[in-house]
Amino acid sequence: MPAMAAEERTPIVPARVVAGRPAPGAHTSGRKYEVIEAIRANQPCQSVIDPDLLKEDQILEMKGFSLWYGQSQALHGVTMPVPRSKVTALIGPSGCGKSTLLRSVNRLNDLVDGVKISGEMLLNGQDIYEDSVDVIDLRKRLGMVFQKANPFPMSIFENVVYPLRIDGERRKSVLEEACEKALKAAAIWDEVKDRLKESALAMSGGQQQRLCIARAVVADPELLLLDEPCSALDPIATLRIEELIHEISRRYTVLIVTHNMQQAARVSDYTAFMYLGRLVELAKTRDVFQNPKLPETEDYVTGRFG
Amino acid sequence: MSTMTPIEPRPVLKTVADVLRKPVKFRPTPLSARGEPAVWFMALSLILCITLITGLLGRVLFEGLKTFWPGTIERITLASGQVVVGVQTKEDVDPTTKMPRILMRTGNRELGAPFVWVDGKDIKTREQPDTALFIERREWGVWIGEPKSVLKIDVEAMPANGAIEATGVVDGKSVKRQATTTADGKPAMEVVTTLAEGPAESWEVFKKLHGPALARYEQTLKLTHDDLGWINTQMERVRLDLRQAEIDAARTAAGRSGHLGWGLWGLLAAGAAAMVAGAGALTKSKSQAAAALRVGLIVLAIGAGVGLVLEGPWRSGGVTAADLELKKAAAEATTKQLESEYQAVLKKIEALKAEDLKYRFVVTEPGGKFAPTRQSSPEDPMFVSQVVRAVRPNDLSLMGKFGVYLSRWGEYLGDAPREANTEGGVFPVIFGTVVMTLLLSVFVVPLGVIAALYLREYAKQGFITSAIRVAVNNLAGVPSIVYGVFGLGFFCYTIGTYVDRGPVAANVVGRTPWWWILAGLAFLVAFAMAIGGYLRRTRHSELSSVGRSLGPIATIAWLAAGGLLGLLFVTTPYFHGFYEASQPSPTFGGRGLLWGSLTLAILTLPVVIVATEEAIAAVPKTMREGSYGAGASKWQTIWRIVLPQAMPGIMTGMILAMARGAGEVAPLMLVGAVKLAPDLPVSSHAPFIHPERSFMHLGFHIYDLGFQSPDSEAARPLVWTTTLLLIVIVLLLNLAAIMIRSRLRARLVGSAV
Repeated sequence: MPAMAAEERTPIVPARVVAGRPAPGAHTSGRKYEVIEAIRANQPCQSVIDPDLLKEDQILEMKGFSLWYGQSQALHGVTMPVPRSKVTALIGPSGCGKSTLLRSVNRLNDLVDGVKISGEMLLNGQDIYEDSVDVIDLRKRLGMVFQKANPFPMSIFENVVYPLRIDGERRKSVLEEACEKALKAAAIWDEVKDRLKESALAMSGGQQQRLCIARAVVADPELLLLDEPCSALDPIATLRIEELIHEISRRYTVLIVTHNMQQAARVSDYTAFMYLGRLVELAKTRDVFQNPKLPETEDYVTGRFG
Repeated sequence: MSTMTPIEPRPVLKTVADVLRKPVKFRPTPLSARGEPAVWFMALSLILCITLITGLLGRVLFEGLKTFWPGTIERITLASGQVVVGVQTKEDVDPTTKMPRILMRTGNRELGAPFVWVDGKDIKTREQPDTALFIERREWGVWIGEPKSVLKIDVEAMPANGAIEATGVVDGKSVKRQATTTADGKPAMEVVTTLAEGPAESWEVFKKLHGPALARYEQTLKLTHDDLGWINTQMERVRLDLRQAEIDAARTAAGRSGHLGWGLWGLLAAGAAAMVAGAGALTKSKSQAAAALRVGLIVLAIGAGVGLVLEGPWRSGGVTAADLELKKAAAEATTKQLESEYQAVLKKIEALKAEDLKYRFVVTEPGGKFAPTRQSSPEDPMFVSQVVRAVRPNDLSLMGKFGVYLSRWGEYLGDAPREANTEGGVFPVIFGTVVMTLLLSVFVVPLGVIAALYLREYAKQGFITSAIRVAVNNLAGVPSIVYGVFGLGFFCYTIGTYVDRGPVAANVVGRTPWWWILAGLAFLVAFAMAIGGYLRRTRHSELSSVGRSLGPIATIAWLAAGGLLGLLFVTTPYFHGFYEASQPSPTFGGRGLLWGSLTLAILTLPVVIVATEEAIAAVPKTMREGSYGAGASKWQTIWRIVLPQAMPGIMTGMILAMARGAGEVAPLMLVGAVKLAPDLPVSSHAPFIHPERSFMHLGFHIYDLGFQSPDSEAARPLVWTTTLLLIVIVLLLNLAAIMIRSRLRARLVGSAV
């Protein structure tokens, strides 16, 4: 378990999960999944969103956001707020559209042929899918870390300052300062400070992922998007990254996609449960794991469903 | 995903012990499943391939390496009493008589065939005389014989009384005197001193005289080639200068200065700048519009600069008759000056020649005839300076033979060819091949990479891109001679003539009058700018469907305007080429190194395009996404991530292209390679590089040696050696490229963790 910075971040272990067996007194799976049945029948359904959440300052708001890859619809009218300076986790079974949703925020899906969208995606109140939005400028304001560490074929230093370089920054002092700051933020400075000129591809997997995080935060993004950042890492490296997410979330808003429910429980303030391209439930992480509103959420987080 | 049945306890498995108690039978995997026969078959194929390749390379290596080894000279007395002196080069069985026979290289081409077949049954004795001499001559090939004497011939003034003492002894050397006439017809006395007599002494004396003679030869060569050559070049320049002045004067007299005039230049530059600025006006953001404006200003500045250079306001408006007279006088004075310099150099050469004429080496063949200075004067023993290398192979130790071997290799690699390429070296050939190959890669790599980048990264994948890919792949199958014909017609005759003498001579001017094109250009620009202005003022949402299609129409109009502008510049009848004065002899309008490289660049383009496309496609998607996610544009991603990552693959394409290009012969025969290029494509005088010169190429050289040589038997070993050399050069070029590639790879992969 990572060392906790604040009390409210005490790790929350899903209450009724003991070695994969239903705890005594738990609901058995005979009960009715109203929302999920509706989703499966392709009927409109209402996401359950914690009303406290709506009072928070929103950095990102999705309003009826839908997305199609060609003919197949991947997101169905997702309406979801993302609070500022908090960690929000997206969980759900494979193919539920978590990553698609995340990649819609920095419009990486634009690169895929035949993508259509409808609805609104507001970043600080501005619709990012409007014609006048420069997508490159938008991506510069967001940082992204991918499932698999993807360092560039260049030195560690050049990797970290890449976002600044492409922005036209040439002053060496500025770059060096930013590099050091970012590497410290990514908790990797001590390991690499003596070999900044070496190839980033020679680092270990965990180091590479932290390097990618450093790269994502070097330009002071408004929102940090993490797409299953630990799925390719061993437990030790995962632990370090999770600690890092805690650290970073003091300064940045983080939206994280994860397959690992314990991870969502450990690192996030809010958790959104998605299913087949719909948002099912979004609430405080504690509530999602210990006191969910919907039986399907409870069964999912306890491992009986999905 | 969604099983909703309660979890049941699993059935209890048998313990490991239970399983082990049963005896286990192993059934052998059938042969077909293991694939053993396929493996044997593959191994056989591999062995076959390796045998073929090593066999070929081994033969080339063996034959190529043994060429320069000094062979033993044998003196064969036949039953008929005839004597054959030579080096055995081959041994086989006569196809008609079925008797063994040997091929002797007897040299001495003036006297008959340089190779003689000797039947084994005719041989009475075979000796290996120590004193037998193998002489490589500057002309007429090899002379094999025995040194008889070394003579010194001086021409002295007639004694006062006119009586010549026919023989005598001076300083212990026997002397013969006889009357002769000098070159200018005055009577003189020829004094022939015998410096050495007999094989051994002659050989020793010859060796002493040979060094200075070679030095004199080198000096003569340098004087002729460098000094006289440079004077000739200068004279030619003066002549061309004057000729250009005459052409300009004629044009001035006819009222055509050959210039566009400032008004037109201004119009063209402003039009180009307006086009760029107009394109910027169509873009969405202010920063892009500002950037386009900047580019427009730069275009304007470049246009003004080009106009300044071509119009030359510091020059006079034209060449008047008076100017021409002045020029003529100046040219005459310069020519006179050069002429006197020429004579001075010529004098130096004459002096060296006179010294050369004195020393003679008498080497007799079995028939008693000696090597002459030339075939037409058999009574005149050859000059010492005519000997390139003389060897007594039978007298040499192994180390001595090896020394000769190395010295021959040195000559082969460092000297120019002699005797219709069958003797001497191949330095210009190596130089031409390497320069051509490097130039070819300089042309083909950027071209191929740009094409592949657009095809893979920017072009919308669909029918057209597939068609282009098929076409590119098919290009690789077009016979290379077709590229040669294309290169000759397009590069040499069209582009080359254009560079030489302008569009009219190159026949690229269409029937449309120039001014009509200009008017069309103005209309298109105005049209496109009007659309651009309208679109900029109107919001996208307010546009009708017709209005929305205006954007592409404006784009097409811009493109057409750009095309017309290009056409306008290209077909301007005011341009008369850069080498107008030297017509009718072509400068770039003929076959040359530049056109050869460009032709081969097109030939090897498919290789580079395919390799680059594959390398680009192999760049991981995650890497690109990382770059996009960091806020990089497509261009920045390509430039900073994709290209560096794809570089090793691109290098592979370059290596393949170089190997293909270096070995190509057929197209080069048409567009640039010649049997003998008198000058290298580089020189020590400005402009140093002469891409218009024709060049020599190893592939063509092999063909020439093998099939066009006057003495094919003598050239045969050189064919092997040249082939070996070509293989080695291609190998070296490839090794260099591979080393660069592995460095790049090492940088990309990083060291061990």
